[in-house]
Amino acid sequence: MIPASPQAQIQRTQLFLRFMRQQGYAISASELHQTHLIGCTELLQDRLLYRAALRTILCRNKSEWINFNLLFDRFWGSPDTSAIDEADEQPDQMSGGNTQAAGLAYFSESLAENEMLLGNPDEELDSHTAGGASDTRVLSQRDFRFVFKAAEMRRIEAMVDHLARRISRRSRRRLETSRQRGQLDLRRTSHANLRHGGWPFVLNYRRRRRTPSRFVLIMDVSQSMEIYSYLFLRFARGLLQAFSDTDAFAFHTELVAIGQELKEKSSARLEAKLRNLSSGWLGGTRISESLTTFNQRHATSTLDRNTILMIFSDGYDSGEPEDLVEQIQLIKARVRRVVWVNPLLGRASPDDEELPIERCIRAVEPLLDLYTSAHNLASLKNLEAAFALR
Amino acid sequence: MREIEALQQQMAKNGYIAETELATAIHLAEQLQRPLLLEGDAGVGKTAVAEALASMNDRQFVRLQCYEGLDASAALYEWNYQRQLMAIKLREGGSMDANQLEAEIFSDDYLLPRPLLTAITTAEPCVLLIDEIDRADDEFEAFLLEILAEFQITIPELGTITARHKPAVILTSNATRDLSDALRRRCLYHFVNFPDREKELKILHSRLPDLELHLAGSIVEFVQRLRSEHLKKVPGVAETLDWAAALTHIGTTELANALPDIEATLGCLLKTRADRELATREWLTEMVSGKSA
Repeated sequence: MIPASPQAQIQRTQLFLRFMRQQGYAISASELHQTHLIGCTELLQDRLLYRAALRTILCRNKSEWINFNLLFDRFWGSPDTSAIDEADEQPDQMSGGNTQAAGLAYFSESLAENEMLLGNPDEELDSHTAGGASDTRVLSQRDFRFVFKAAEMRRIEAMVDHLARRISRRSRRRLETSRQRGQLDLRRTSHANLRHGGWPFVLNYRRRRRTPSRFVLIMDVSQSMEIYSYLFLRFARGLLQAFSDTDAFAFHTELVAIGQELKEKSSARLEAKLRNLSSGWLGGTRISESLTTFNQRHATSTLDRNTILMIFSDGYDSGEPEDLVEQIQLIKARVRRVVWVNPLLGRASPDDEELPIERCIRAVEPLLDLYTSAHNLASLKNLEAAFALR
Repeated sequence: MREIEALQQQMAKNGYIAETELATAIHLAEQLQRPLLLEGDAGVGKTAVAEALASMNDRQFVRLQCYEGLDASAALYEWNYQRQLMAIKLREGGSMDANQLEAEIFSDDYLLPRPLLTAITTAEPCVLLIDEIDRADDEFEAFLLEILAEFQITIPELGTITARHKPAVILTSNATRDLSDALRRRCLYHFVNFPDREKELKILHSRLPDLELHLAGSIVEFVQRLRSEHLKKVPGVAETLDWAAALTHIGTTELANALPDIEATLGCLLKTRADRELATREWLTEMVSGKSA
């Protein structure tokens, strides 16, 4: 219960804010100040209103918003401070408690949780340990099919999430200033020289506006991609969060749109859609038929000259190569770039001297702007090149 | 709390049914003078909050619609350079010296205020809606930070203009991309969900008072069931209102035996080809009867 006396209330609120910090909520001096201000109002007298007010002040995104009421009730629900004491002793368990679940619930992990798992991911992904490889570096170079431990997989998942966000940041940052100034902008020049009576003392040049690329991801979730599709879906979710104009589709024997579901973090709808999708998880692959569906139903609304289309597939197709070539040609006519990501391309074990690339992929390879591998984190990181395509 | 109840009643009078949590968020935004960030799916009534707030307090409503490529000049101010050029030409050979001429052509008369400057310079407090901020570029988002923190704008030729009255600022986002932490930190936050049955029924009564009670209930049930399906574009409140109006217009009195009417007006609710293909006659029958739920 919320304490009646103001002094007890202030102390208890401070404990609550500490508790929320441990749950990954970013609480700065500004939030502390606002919390104190509302603590001096009538809102305090009504538990529901007080909860609503704190929710508005302390939450910054949807996942925090959804978890808030549960955490509030967990803390304020008991009259003693046992909840907070437990939280002090076992912060790791507490933070994972309300979001972690088995199976497809991996999509509901919070950013804070990932960062806790990953430590300082930026440094680690780029690190080159001098006296021996770090755990992270070893993991980033290991083929996804050789990751057996759950803890290692969790760490890779967190790194994949982080990678998607980093790609977004890098694609937006500014590059070195070009010395080539381009064409004179007469309108801006005349505008800038009004103060000089129209004499062109200051020259303005046309600035070429960089049109941001759109991304469309088409992911193979058939049996042959079983090891990789899980992480690729997660990578796609990260990209969908980072790039506003991105859409995603999954295919096995048929094609389904999953963009909306991937965007909906921690929602039941996402889990249900992926469960439906997994009913065909072990089916054969019909790439050309799926791409035909895509061209007929979705191409008009999702593709344009700024689009970079990425296909994540091993290229095993039960159809004819000519059909696949025809569909890729149709796509290529609409988009800026076509990128094919094949996880089998990176396999280099002695047993796999001949890469199991089927005739279909050989037929379409000349049409692709980039044909690359993504069998481990290091090669997935190389996909940044594809996102920088202009 | 009386103030929040009064706020809810006032908003209801202006056509917006706000639940207690949203009313608390609006109340806090006013009391703490902080921008309020409303996030949620398209069609849940985020923009309508700002409109209701403006009409409720009889305040000027200033709207800045964000889009990709929106820059500071389109949001803040521009000089009317054609008029400035004309003024220079007209005064050529006249007695006005250069300094006087410069002072004149860079005065308020030649300034074209855009939404942000308008919101800051209004004589009375206004409501500023920054709509779909997630569509704007990161650079524009960074530019907004200063304005939202200080409520002042610097125009090199005129100096710094500080808001006489801090506007009530509502930002909306469809969450098509993640907003920066810096922006979120400066705002209060509220996630607007699709309305539940009770609230949607109240909205229907408020907007379409002539709608029959039984039909309104069936419409809300149908739309609520529709939202639990895997649709590409989930229908919002605006779609429910459009559909109810369409059904009333063609004389439907009951949904249970009106499958042809539903099929004929389904375009009000389902707006993509994939969703339309999902809606077969059998599926619609199940949706009306509630068996699929």
